[in-house]
Amino acid sequence: MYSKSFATKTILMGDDLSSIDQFKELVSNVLKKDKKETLKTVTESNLCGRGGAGFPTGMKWNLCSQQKVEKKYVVCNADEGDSGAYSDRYLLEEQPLKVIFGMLVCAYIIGSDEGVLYIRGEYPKSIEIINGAINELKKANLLGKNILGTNFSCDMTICIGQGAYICGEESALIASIEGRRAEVDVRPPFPVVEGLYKKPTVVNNVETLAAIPCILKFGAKTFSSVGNAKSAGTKLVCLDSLFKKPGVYEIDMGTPMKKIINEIGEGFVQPVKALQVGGPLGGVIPIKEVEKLNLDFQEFTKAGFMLGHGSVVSIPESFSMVKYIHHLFKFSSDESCGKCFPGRLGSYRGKEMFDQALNKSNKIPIKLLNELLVTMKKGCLCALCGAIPVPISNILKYFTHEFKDDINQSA
Amino acid sequence: MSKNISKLSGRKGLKDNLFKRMVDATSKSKNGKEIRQLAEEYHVGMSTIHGAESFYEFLRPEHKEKKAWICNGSACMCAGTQGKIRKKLSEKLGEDNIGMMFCLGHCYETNAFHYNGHNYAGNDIDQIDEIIKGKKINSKKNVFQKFCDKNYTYGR
Ligand SMILES: Cc1cc2nc3c(=O)[nH]c(=O)nc-3n(C[C@H](O)[C@H](O)[C@H](O)COP(=O)(O)O)c2cc1C
Ligand code: FES
Repeated sequence: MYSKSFATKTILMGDDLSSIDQFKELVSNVLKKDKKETLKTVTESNLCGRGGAGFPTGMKWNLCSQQKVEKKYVVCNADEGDSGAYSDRYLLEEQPLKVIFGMLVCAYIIGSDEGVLYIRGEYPKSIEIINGAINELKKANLLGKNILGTNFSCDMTICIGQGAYICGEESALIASIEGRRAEVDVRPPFPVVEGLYKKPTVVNNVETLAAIPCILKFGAKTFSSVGNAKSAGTKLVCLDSLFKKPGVYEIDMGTPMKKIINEIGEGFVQPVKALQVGGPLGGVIPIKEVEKLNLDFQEFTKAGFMLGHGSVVSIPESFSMVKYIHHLFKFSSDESCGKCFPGRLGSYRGKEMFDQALNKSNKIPIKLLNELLVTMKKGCLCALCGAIPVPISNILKYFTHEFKDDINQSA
Repeated sequence: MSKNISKLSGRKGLKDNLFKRMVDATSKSKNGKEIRQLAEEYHVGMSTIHGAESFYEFLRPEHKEKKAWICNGSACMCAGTQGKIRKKLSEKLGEDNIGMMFCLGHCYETNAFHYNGHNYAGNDIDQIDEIIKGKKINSKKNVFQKFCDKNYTYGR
């Protein structure tokens, strides 16, 4: 995997935490410091969750730390299912100690003694590497009972995902670890109050946790001074195989997308008409539109797209958008958890419309399709089936010309 | 209902995790018996375990019957690599033995497939005979892989 940092100050990709000795030094610094001070640094860094929802990490940890319950959990969400994304895989395999360190600091601050990494089964190498790292850290008394002779104990384990995309959604992920069907739960209560086994739980994405060591090492300001308050620090961006220079890159928030596409990715190997940024639920953005944007969560949302986890999939000029929408509906109908009605049924009805358009047995009933998209957007329980209308609506808006022969205007 | 199951599962917690036990139970040959034992041990009905187990793609018999899986993700689809991989794998392993998996995290080189516990991508398909024979290609190991003992529970 090709990886390179273009960040002003590298946070995620550097070798600041690549040996057990470095881990020991950083952990002993944290254990010597007041917990409140460490939490303040995390909060002031303006680090926001990298798993998609973008919740402020310091605030999440603080809410959990305030729960007056003895047993709490830390969960690392390593179920990276978005196609186009392999940044969590990079971190799990190339920076495993940063991820585990982030979990350990979180456990220390919130008062937890157990953590679990939920790693998708499609990533066998990540599982092996994290498992090996946990074993080594245990041997060095950096995990387990009385870490470095203090009264702080923390154990870690791994759960291996079994091929369900929805397990990336935090309430489904918790249900899965508990051995239940991975169905999305209604919130509140949020996991920080009632999470794994109904105990207060912090669920954080791999990339969020991996940023912690260097935020603590270099100080909050180093991170918060990049980008803006809501989109601060650096972000991993994955470019797919249709870029001339595909790979995972660490990039300052706020960097123009034009630079990412043309300078970092060096443009495309064949004509590309649009990018899908942020996984299957992210926006499909025509090249002309994407070049107006900067790497910024709010900017993407404002323009009707979603930066999400930062993956970029290129849609070639020659690829039919009717087929692409079919692919998206098929994905949500295969992966819907089945709990909410508009998600379970709506995804399938959408897939059916495009099955028929592709085999030319029926034209797309455009009014019905638009109603379906509104119903799914408004009525679904979570962002799997609730956000899939975003890329589909984008395609219908920007690529109307590709549908003109396949649409029934009166149905 | 689920609150009750969460709490029952939580009695054993992460140390004797129900999800892992369920995954193990479905891979044992005497499936029915294992699941009954599990239900009794965790004080839940058989249907609770069956209901959960049937949710997961990898635990279904149709999935387990396959020998190789082609990446079904958007990047592999747009790069147009799935057809070639399917053809080659079908020639070697039989058309009915090929399944699909969603994005294997090799979107920078696409041509991705999963075989016998490992992911392959890029030009790896050209070495399919060696891969089937069990020869390790991509053998560069990360330092921590040495310490992996395949038992993911508290290093036991
Ligand atoms: C359908 C769906 C899929 C998701 N998949 C992931 C995922 O693969 N990894 C992840 O970290 N978060 C994923 N999330 C977001 C999680 O629910 C949750 O917000 C996140 O793990 C919290 O961590 P963070 O605050 O560090 O971002 C997903 C959300 C939804 C609705
Ligand atoms: S889409 Fe095939 S490896 Fe990601």
